[in-house]
Amino acid sequence: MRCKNDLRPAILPLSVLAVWVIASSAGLTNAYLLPSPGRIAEAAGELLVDGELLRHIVASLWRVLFGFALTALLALPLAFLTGIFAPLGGYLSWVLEALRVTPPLALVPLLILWLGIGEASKLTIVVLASFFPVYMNALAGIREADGKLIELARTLDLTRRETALHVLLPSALPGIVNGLRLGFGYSWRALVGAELVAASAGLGYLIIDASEMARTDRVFVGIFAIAALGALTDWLFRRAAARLMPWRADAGRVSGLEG
Amino acid sequence: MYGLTITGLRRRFDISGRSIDALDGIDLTIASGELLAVVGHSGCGKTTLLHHVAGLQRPDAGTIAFEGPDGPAASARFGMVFQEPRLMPWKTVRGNLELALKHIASGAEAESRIADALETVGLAAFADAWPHQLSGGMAQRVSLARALCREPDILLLDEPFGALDALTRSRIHGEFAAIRLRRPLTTILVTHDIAEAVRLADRVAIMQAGRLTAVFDIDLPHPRPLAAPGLAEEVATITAAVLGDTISQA
Repeated sequence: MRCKNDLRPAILPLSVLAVWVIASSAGLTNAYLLPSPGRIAEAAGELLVDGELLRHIVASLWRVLFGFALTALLALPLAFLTGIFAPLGGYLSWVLEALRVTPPLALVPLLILWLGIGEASKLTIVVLASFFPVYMNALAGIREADGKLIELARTLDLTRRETALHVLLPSALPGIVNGLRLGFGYSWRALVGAELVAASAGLGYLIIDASEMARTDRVFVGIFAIAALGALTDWLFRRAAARLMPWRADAGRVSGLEG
Repeated sequence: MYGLTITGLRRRFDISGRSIDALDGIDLTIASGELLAVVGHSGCGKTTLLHHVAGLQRPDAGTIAFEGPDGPAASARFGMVFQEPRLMPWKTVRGNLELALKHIASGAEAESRIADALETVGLAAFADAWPHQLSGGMAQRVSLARALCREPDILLLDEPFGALDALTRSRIHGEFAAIRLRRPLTTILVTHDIAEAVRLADRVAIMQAGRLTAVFDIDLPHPRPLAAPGLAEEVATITAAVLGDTISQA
């Protein structure tokens, strides 16, 4: 059971932080391999003051948001089409399955060859990484729509369009939101991977650049920035889910991952 | 209000290589304003009959003809209540009723119909509640209100009170009988509860293996509480007929 202001999730990270501070202060850690939390905070301060951190965050965030919007525009209509017209899903199944099991990062060399090292290759990776969670969850939501409610819609003389709007769409909404939330997390992972390989800005680039300069403290700043942004966007998703689905008491934790 | 005449209705299902006559030549006439209850064992075809009247399934043979106030009609408007409430969880009580009125009424008229229907089932204060906030009995009353607000030509009830506990069911029987006294509605009630059929119906039809085997007139005055004189005898007679202990009175 959890109450609203449950602090239990904070216990582990705070404990780790405390051990880390103590170990660093006692000189038990190698400052190059594991800088002290204080040194990392200083590095974060430097990057914030000179605007570098914000520049990298904006570059990554823009790619994720734009790529993710493309994913939603492609995956959601396709899920509805294949959910309602089952034969279409049959035609697409091999191609979709092959793409689904191929890690997007495996395509990076090809994408750089075809699309160059500009934004197009990174956006493509974001789309490939987030497409399947969004598509598969939305499709499952549509396919699992309650047949009894569809039958009811017929007795109420609703048209196919009205049935899709008032029965199928709300029925699929938890799946859609869950897929969007998972897909967004996948976008971040893939994007940072892509930025590690080919970019001149972005959090992935910040990490690889700092690593090459032997600035482990800055590497940690990049990692924490990604984690914080990921947690923030996930929290926003849960808030949006609760607003979109007021009939679901558990709308704020649609995937079953507590938050 | 409409009456309807069912003639020679047949429907066969193939289940695991076996052919089953769910409807084996049903002939039945239901007068305008009458409540006909259909009782029988599980699988006797009573729900299939209701689904054919509602147009949810098509027969292999036979016809269903509707008779409106102005003569024969090609179709009728139905209000249907199922065994479970089937409320859209993502719509409030009001939203569920609005959906039922989609092609029937809008604006002030829809609001007035919704208010009337909820008043009729005693849930006027719950218009803005979500389905998950209602008890089983309340949710089923909302589904009855959803059917009533459509002002249907024919009301179709598919074991609507079967999932309720005995006390709630008995109370809703009384409420439903009172509603019908105020607003007579042509109604087909499918149920396996013979006491329910006798309390509510003008006639009770017995179905067995896809056929109508008997039809009983219930001439008891309304209201018919469980202890009403003559009710227990009617229940016993029909129960015996369902069990095959008496000769058909059809």
